[in-house]
Amino acid sequence: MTTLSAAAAHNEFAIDLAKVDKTYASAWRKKGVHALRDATMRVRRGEVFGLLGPNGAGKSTLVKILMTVISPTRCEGRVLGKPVGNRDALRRIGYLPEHHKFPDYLTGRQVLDFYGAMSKVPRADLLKRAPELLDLVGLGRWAGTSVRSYSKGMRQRLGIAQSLINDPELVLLDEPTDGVDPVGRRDIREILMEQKRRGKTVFLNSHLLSELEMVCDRVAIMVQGRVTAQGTLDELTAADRRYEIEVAGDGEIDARLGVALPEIKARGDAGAWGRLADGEPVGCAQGLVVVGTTEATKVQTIIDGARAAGLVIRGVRAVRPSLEDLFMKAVMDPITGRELGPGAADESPAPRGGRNNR
Amino acid sequence: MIQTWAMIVDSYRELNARKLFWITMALSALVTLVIACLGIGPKGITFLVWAFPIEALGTILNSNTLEPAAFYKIIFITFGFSIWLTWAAMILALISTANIIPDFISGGAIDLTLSKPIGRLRLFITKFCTSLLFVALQVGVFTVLAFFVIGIRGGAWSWGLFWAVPLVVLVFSYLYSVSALVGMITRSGMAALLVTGLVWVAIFVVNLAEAGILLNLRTQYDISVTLHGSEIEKRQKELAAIESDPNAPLPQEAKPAASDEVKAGAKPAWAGMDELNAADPAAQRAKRVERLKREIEEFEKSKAGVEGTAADLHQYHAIAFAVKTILPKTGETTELLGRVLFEGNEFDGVQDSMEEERAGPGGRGGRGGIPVGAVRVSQREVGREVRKEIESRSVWWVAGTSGAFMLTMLASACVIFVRRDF
Repeated sequence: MTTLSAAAAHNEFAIDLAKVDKTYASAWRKKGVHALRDATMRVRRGEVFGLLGPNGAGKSTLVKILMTVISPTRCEGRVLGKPVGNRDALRRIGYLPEHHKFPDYLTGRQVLDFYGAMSKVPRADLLKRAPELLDLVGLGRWAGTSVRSYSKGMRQRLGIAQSLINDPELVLLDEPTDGVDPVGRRDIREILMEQKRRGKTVFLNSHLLSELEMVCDRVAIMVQGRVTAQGTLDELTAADRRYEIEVAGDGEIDARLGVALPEIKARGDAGAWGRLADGEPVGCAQGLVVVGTTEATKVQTIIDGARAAGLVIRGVRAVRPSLEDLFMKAVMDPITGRELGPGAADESPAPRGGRNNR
Repeated sequence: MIQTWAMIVDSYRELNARKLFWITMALSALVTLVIACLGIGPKGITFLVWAFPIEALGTILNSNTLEPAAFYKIIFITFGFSIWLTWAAMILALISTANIIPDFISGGAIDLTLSKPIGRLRLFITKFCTSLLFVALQVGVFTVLAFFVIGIRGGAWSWGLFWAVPLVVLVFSYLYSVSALVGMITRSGMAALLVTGLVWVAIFVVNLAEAGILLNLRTQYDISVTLHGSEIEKRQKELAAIESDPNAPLPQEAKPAASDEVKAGAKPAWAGMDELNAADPAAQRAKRVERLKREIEEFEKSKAGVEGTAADLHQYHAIAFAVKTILPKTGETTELLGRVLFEGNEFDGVQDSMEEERAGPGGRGGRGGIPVGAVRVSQREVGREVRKEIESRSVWWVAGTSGAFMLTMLASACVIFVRRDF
């Protein structure tokens, strides 16, 4: 890669990580726990990016590495064009950790003042921004109240405000809607979309797939310490998108269809998929014809053939898998059909030195 | 600077939210008020208009033996700083601050702080220093109040009193560094408090063993060795004088040497022998020679034993001193305030009175001091020598070695903090 293209890549991606490894040393075991293995991920500037995966997949570890809370065993890549952990980059990042805990002797306003100052926000900016953010998250009336008396949802809203206090270019939110009621979730969604409209990058780590589906431009799925898939929802579901044609008629519908359209094979046998002229897979079972394409024109031949054979077309629908389908597919072992366990698939010896104490 | 200031303000808010901080502050004010109510007159100490009913105290402490300013300084150092601030308030401060580091590194809180653009080392050291704010504020307020009490009631404005602020904070930092390290390792405020308490007890025990017991005993035996030497020397001189000229009159009887007070009151068992043997000078001379030789032999034998014990005590004391050198010296650091506050002979009159009182009748020579070997050693002289040796220990030794201990603890905590994954 030339210097210019490398610079362009740095500019294009808010997060550009490669080969991130993390092994937690254990005092009692010779082998450490491999939490991340060769995790590679790219987040474009100005997009809302979702990271999903089952418990113990390494999502929080990855986010903590980005925020220097955990040091990686190995990490190549940059955040906001700077090496991971660079203080100038950290100054331009907003972060809300999962299960965050604010000092309960502070008021909501004091929390913003403290964390704003820790992010090196000038006092004059803090004076202006803190009340605005408290109003934005609906805590304007509670600004002078001790955090001790806040509900979980209020603390979460305060956390969102805290993550935005330095007007960050990149916001990393770990389970931002945890404990928030539906109205609050909608408010948070709107805040995030507003950030996107302002050209900010939003990185979400959440279990709420429906929430992510609503706001994310791109997602990455992490399983057992590896990023197994990443892209837009369309890209990730392209392989599983299909048309389903429901056919009705007398007698053996599948046999009649097979006669009318020789390219159709009866499903139920893994190798029995036929192919359309352009190569799209097609099969049928109990009157349901499945065509592996996203183009409506490709299914017209099937519809015409079925009608010519005297069959009735009862319905045609374009099917796109949901994020949940995608997630479930990613976290299931294709061989055993069981959910994959937490942590990386194998264990390796703990490295010497480095910050490895969990 | 924005970050440091934010952490200072945050620490103040944290303290402000702790009831114990305000309780300690109120007690500090109360202690100052009580001291301000004390007074010193020709007949002794008074509390408001009432005189203390202890006659002996009035004999030692009165306006003739002690200036009012020195009186208030002694009271503030002895009760205010040495007892209240470095014991009671210190315990309250340790209880109140034991949870600061465990809370600081608790999950959810530390993630947020570490994600800010500040280095871990700077973050931890700043947190440690701002945690000292508890004691700094307590001792600061107490010192200001004490300054005004000494100024108004004692008539002297002792600016040196403000040395109490860094000294007491320094003493607290020795102990708090242990608390911070244990809190960092265990993440438990209770464990931090318990271990710090144990370390404090260990410091007290080592100090007691070194300065209170071994140094005292060693000094007693050292003085005893010297006294044995002078006894032997006297007798040898006398013996030489008798033997060099058999016809010369017998020299005056050698009195047993001892420290100043003992010398005055000791009555040797052989007193009066001269009169008993006056009738026969030759026999008297022979007996005298024989007795002197026997005494020299006895003193040499006794000296050998005392020297052996002294050598052992030197060894034990050296070990205790080495252990003490490694540990922080909380008491001696606080006592540095006395060196700053008392210049010249301001305190000598009362100190002598107190020493005499402490030394008891033996100290004044009534019954001959403490028997060590074949001689008696004055307790007063021992006390004076011990005090001289303790005061000869430099400020750098006291604060430097204690500071090194604190820095070692702090550095260990820093290493853990910088390397740990949270």
